Amino acid sequence: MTTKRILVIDNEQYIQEVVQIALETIENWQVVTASSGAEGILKAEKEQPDVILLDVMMPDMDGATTFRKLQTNLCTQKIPVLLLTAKVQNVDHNRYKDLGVLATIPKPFDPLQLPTQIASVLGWQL
Amino acid sequence: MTREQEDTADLLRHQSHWMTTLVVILDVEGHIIGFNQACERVSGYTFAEVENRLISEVLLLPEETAAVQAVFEQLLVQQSPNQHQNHWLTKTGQQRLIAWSNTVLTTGDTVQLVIGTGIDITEQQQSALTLQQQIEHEQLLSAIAARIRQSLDLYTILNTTVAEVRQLLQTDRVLIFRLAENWRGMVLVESVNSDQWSSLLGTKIHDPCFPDIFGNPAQPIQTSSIENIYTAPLTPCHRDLLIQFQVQANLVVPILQENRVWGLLIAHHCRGSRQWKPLEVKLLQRLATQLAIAIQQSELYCQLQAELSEREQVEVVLQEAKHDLEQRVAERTTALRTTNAKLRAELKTRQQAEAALQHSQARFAGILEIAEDAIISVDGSQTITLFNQGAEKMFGYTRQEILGQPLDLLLPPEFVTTHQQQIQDYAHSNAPAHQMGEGRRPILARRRDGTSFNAEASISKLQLGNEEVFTAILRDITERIEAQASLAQLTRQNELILNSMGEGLCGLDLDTQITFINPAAADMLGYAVADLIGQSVELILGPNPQQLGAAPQSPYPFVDSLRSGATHRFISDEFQRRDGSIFPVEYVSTPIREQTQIVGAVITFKDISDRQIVERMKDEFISVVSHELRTPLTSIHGSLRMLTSGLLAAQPEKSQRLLKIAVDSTDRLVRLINDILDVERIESGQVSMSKQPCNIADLMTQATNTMQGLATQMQVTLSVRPLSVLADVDGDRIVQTLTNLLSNAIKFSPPGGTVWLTAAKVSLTPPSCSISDALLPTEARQPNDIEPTQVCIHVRDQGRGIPPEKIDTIFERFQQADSSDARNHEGTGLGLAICHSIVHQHRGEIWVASQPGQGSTFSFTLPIQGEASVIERSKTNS
Repeated sequence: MTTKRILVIDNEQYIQEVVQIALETIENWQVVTASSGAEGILKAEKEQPDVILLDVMMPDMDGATTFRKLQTNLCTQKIPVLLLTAKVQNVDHNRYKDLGVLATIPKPFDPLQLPTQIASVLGWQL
Repeated sequence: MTREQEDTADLLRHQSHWMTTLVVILDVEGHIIGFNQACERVSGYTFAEVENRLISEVLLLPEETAAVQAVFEQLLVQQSPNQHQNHWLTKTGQQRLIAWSNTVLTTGDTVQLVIGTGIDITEQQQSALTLQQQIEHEQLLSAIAARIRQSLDLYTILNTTVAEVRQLLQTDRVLIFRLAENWRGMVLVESVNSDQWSSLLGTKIHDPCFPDIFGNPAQPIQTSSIENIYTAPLTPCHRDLLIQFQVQANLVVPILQENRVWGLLIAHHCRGSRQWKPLEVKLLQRLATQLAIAIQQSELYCQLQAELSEREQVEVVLQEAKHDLEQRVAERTTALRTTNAKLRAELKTRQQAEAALQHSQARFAGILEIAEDAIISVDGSQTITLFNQGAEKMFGYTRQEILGQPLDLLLPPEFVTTHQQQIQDYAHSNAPAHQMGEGRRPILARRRDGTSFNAEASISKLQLGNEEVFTAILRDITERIEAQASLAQLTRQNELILNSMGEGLCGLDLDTQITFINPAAADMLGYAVADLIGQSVELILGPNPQQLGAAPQSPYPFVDSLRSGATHRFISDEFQRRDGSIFPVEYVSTPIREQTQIVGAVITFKDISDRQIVERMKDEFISVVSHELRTPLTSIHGSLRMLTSGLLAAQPEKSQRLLKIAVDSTDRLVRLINDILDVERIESGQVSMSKQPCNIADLMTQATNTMQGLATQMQVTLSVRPLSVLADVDGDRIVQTLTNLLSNAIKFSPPGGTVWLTAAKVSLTPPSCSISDALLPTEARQPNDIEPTQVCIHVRDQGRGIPPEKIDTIFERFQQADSSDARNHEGTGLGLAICHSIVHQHRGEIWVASQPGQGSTFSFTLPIQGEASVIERSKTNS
C-alpha cells in the first residue's frame, strides 16, 4: 500500500503536532500542517493530499467556509475532507452533515484509533 | 128569369126608386138586378153601372164577402134570419155601414129573387162609436183624477197615465217631457212598445229648434198635432228631431203650472201617419189639466212633507234634550248615592283605622322599647321627651336621667351649635323626614362617658296641636365604619400590590374584554391603563397566538379558561405593543369564579425578552466553553495516549515534545477553568469584593512589578505614573484587573514598544475623561470648585489596535480580537470579561478607545473618597 499524504488544518499548534506524530508513527503517513483555512487551501492545491483533516472553529476563516472553498476549487474539490471538531452538540452535527463532509471526528480523539477511523471512512486498507 | 119575375122586379124598382130606404134586388147568383135611387146616392154608382154585376165584386168589402155570402146562401134555402149588417164600398172608396132586412121571392119552393132592404147607418154608427170613446175618455179621466186624489206619488200617477193613454190611443209611445229653463229637459216617464220602438226614458233633450217650435217658454204653448211629419209644414230641425225618435205623427199637449209650461204630454205614432181626432186632442188636454193638478198637489205634498220632516227633527232634538236631562238627573242621583256610600265607608274605615291605630300605638310602644336603634324625641325647645331602651344602651344614660334634659348632652360639644342650627333649618323646611348629617355623612354622637361614636341618623317632625315634636332614630355604625375602613385599606393594599407588581396582570370578562390591567402590564404594552380598559384582549395579542391547549374553535388558550375553567400556563407566546412591536411573554391564565360561576379570567404575564437573551447567551457560552475546554484536553489526551502506547519508546525527542504539549495544555486548562469560575462567580455576585481603603498608587506599582518580567521578556518598556488617591476597593481584584490589561498590552506590543499606566481624578462620567487628563498635573485637570468623584486609570499600548467591529464586544467572554493570537499568547479569552466584572462590582466603568495600527487605550474608573480623607489618611499612614 502506498504512503498516504494527510493535510491537517487546525489553528491549534499542539493538536497539529499530536496528529502529525500519531499518523507518522503509527502508519508512516506523510503529514502536512496548516494553521488557518487560507493556508490550508494553498497547501491542499500544492500538496494534493489524499485526505484533509479540517478543524471547524478557527479565527478568520472557519472550517465551514474553508470546506466550501475547497469544494468549489477545481484543484481541491475531489479531495475528501474529514472534520475535526470540539463542537459536538447535535446542532453542530446536523450543520456539518448538511455541508456534505464525509465524517466528523470529535475532539478529544484517540490518536491511536485515528488512522483506523480515517481508513474506515475512506475505504483504505491498512 | 121569367117574365113574371122581371115584372116583379120592375115593379119593385119602380116603387122603391124614390124611397130613402136602400132597395137592392139580386138574382140567386148574386147579380144586381134592382138598385134604387137611395142605393145610387149612397154608393155613388148608377144602376146602369152595377146592373147584372155580382154585388160581391162591386160593393162588398173583400173581408166581409164571405160573411155576406153565408147569409146569402142561407137566404136561398129560406133558413136564416133575414137581418144583418155589412159595409158597402162606395165609388169614391168610402165605407158605408148598411143595416139589411132581406126577403126572398119564391115560385113554389124555389127562391127566384133576393130583395135586400137597407138603411145607411154609417152616421149612426159613427155617433155611437164617438159616444163610446167619449165614455172611455171620461172613464180614463175619472180614473186618473181619482188616482190623483188618492195618491200623492206623482211618479206613479204619471207612469200609469202614460201607460193608459197609450193603451187608449192605441199609439206607439206616450211620454211626459219635463221642461226646464232654456228649453232643456228630460223624458220623465214613458210608455212604449219597446219591442218595436226605442225607449226615450231619461233622455235629456236640448234641441236648438225648440224655441222655433214652441216660442218663448214663458208664453203658453199651444197644443200641436202633426198628422204626418213629412207632409206637415215643419222646420227641418224639428223634422230631424222627430225622425231621430222614429216619430211619424205626434200630439203634443202642454202641462201648465201657473201659466208656465211645466212639461209636455206627448203621444208619438211611429208605425205610420195618424189623423188625431178632436176627441183625442181634447182628452190629452184634459189629462194635462188633471196632471197639472196632480203635480201641484204633489209639490204641496212635498212642501208639507218637508215641513213635517222639519217638525219631526225638532221633535227628535227636543226628545234628545229631554232624554239628556233625565240622564243627567239620574247620574247626579247615582253620584250622590255613591258619595253617600263612600262617606259611610270612610266613616267605617276611619273607625277601623282608629281601632288599628290604638292597636298600633300599643305595638309601637312595644317596638320602641325593644328596638336596637336609639329613638329620641325632643320638643320645640330641643328638650328630650322620649328616650327608648335602645337609646339607653347606646348612650349610657337611663331614661330618668335624660328625660327633660337638653339634647346637647348627646352631642360632642364642638357640634352642638351646628346641630342646633340644622334642627332649626329642618323645622322651617317642608320635608316630613330627612337624613341627618352633612352630605349624608354619619353624625358624631356623645355617650355619657364623653366618648364619641359614629351614628347614622334620620329625623322626622310631627305637629301635635301647637307643639312640634322631632323624633330622631340613630344607629351606631362604629363597626360598619371600621369594616369599611378595613375594606378600603385592603382594597388600597391590593391596588398597591397590583400596581407595584413587576408582572403584568390583566383581567378579562366573558367576552374577553379587558376589565382591569395593572400599570406594569400597561407599561409593558406601551399603553396607559385607561386606554386598555374595555378593549378586546385581541388588541394586545401577537399575530400568531399559540394553539397549545386551546379549544379548536378558539385561537386563544385563555378562552378555554373562560369556558372550561381550566388554568393554562404558557412559557412561550407573543404579545403586541401599541407601536406594533412584538415581545415574547410567559403567561398564566386563571379563571375567576364567583361561587361556581366563571365570570372572567386573569392573565398574569411576564416579558421574557431579557430571559431569552440570557438563555441564548448561556447556550452560546456553553458551546464556546465546551470548545475551549476540549481543545487543550485534546492535546493532553492525545499526547498521553501516544506516550503510554509505547510506540515512541525509541523516539525520546518526540516523547519530550508530547510531554511539554501535555503540561502546557494542562496549565492552559487550569487557567481556563479558573477564569471561567472567576467570571461566573464575580458576575453572579458570589464573590464579594472585600473593599477597604487602598491607595491607587500602591496598586498601580504592585501590578507593574508583577508584569515587569513579561515586559522585559517581550522587550517592552513599562511606563507608570502612580496617582496617590484613596479608594474603597478590593485591592487584589484591582491588581488582577491592572495585570490583565497590562499583560494584554505587553503581549500585543511590538518589541521595543512602550506600555503606559497612568491615572487621574475626574468628576465626569466616562468616556469623557480622556487620556490627556491623566497626563496633566492634578491641579490643572479640574476646576477648583468641582469635587472629583472618581479616579480614571488608563493602560495604553502601541499595538496594532482593535478592529472597529470588535470594539463593542471586546469585554464579552471569548471575544478576543484574534483568537489565534490569544492562543498564541496563552489567553483564555476571559481576561477582559473578568476585568469588566470586577470594575462593575466596584460601580465603575470600563471601556476602550482604539485606532487600528496606532494602539489601544483601555480605561476604567473607580469611585474615590473625598480629598480631605485622602490627605488625612495619607497623614495617618505616614
